[in-house]
Amino acid sequence: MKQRTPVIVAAISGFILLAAFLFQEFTAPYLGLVLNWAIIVSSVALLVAIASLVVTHIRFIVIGRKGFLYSIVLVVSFLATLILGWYLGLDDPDYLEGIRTVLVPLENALMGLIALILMSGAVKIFRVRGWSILTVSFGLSALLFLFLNLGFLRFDSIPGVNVIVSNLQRLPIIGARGLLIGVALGALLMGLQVLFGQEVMRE
Amino acid sequence: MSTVDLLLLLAGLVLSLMVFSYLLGDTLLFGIAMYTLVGVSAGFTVLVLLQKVILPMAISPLSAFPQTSAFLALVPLLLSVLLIWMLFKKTSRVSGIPLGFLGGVTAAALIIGVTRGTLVPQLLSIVNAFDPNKMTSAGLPNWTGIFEAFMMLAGVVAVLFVFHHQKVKKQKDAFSNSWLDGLTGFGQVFIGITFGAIFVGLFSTGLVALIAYIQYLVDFAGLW
Amino acid sequence: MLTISLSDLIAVIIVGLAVVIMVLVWLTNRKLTSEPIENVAAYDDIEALMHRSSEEGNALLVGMGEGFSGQNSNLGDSVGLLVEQIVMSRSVFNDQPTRSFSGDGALACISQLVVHGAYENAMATELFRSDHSGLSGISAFAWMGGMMPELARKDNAGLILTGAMRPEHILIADLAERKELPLVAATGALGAQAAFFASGSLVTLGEDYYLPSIGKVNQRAYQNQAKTMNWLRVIVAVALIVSALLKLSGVLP
Repeated sequence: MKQRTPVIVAAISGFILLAAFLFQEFTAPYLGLVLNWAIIVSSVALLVAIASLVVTHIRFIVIGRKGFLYSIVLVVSFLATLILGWYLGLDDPDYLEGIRTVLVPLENALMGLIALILMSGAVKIFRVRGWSILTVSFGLSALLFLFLNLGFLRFDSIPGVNVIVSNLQRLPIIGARGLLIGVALGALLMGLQVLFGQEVMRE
Repeated sequence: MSTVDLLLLLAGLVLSLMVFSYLLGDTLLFGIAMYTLVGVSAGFTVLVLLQKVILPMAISPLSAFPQTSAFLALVPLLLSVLLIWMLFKKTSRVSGIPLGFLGGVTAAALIIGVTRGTLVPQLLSIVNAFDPNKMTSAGLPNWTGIFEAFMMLAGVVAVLFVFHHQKVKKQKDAFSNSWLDGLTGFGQVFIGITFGAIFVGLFSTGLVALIAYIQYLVDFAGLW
Repeated sequence: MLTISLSDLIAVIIVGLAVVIMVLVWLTNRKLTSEPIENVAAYDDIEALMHRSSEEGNALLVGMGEGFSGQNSNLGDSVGLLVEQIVMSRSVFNDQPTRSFSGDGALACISQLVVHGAYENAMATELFRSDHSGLSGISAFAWMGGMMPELARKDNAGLILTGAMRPEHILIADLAERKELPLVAATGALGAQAAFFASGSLVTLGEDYYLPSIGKVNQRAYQNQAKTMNWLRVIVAVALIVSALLKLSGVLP
């Protein structure tokens, strides 16, 4: 992508917003305005992308692409949801209940399926990744926290054990903090690169 | 329960059972369920965006002409038109302008978010654990607090150095970085512990969803 | 009179420091050294995937994640777009086009520009089709749902996941494994890293995600960024130790 205009626009808008965030006492009303613009533009981008998705699948149906049954399902469910919502109104309780009745069991079923997949994943981790400090500590930690999370044993009545257990439960915070700081530094550099226009000037 | 409610409930049940057909290696029924999810969520999102964002935030302010707010509303409208142009001309260069604007705003928000929202609070919480008041209780050393503070500092520094990038030549020299290797090993223990705990948290969430789904099946069976 | 809180002051110092180090590293490393920093293993494996794709004549799929326009709770970023740019630029003339799937509107639109840019740079715009890159669904589950049937097709060589992911997306890794397709998962989200770590896929851990370098592509930027990260890491570690000691001795309030 060797287009310079988006890079320049990104740099200017980014720097202005950064300055506006820094001097919020003076720029608060303008900051809100620009963020509103961003919300509108990203919403339009989403509408454009959805329109493109539907048009692509209509084309798949027309040309009879392999697996176009999926495209029919997508277009029909999209149009049904859109037309019904337009006719009944977005705030209609029956419409919202209908959407919920379809989406919630689907998402719950997916989460349940993921639980089963995770179980099989955990069993084969040593076969796939071998034995290392990372895999051994991962395995031991998963076993320990699974045992603690199940809550079969209560340690409230034993003061010494209670302290040890509560300390053990705080151990993941150490790794999480180190990882979060590293990831945040990486993200910061990536954000700065976008502002300085380096993102598109790479080889 | 009305017939429509019953039909919707049945549709939800059938779709969710289609999801579990994945376990049998079936991708057709699973794919149908997934594309239904895509279609329904896309249709619903279009309505929400049009009625809750585009109309009130982009179109309505235009009715205030010739006030300043109406003129200001023209800016996102113009950017939106440039973006919509992309639908008709996929290769449009002008569509890069609104996308560049979004990229810049996102980058700025990211910089502020990660520094003020992640880096500063995390760093301060590590340093604040060394507050002398937290290291003593009733005039005596609070050994748990002292141990925790030092462990946190050592652990975080070790985790940071797990990702220290080394030159290709130096990596092949087994003895040149023994202190870094030791630190890295120590850090890996904490990363493994964190990943294990996150993994169990995710597994527990999935298990709760699975139990809720089984309950949903039982409730459905109870209708008869 | 401008007032600034302690948190904001530290934030400004960190950003200023990052900018200064970035500029210094860039100025002192104008040429590639003979002892470069080694690539991140997971990113290097993308090159093997690209070779496999062109040799077998099968398609490479790129999952771009949930996107960055505020719809997800992860750190938004543009690393995925950079990876997509590199992969696309190397696979324009493959028998089967590389296809990418986004989970957000802005990401899908930018991705479309990136893909078209790759074809334009290769002077092969006549080969570009808009369905090479686009939205596959809105929300974490819908994005995954829209991509999985495409992954189940027979003519795929491999899958690259790059961008904002969630742990739930491990289902994609499972399907890739069932179809015996190699998968590289590059994400900055810790939850997703933990989940993908448990799967057989290659995954970037921690901050490695922010250092994309595939083979010899993007080397200068990678070398500079890796060195900047190294310096920032050392400074943060020293600052932490010194601040902790000052706090302990009562010098810091």
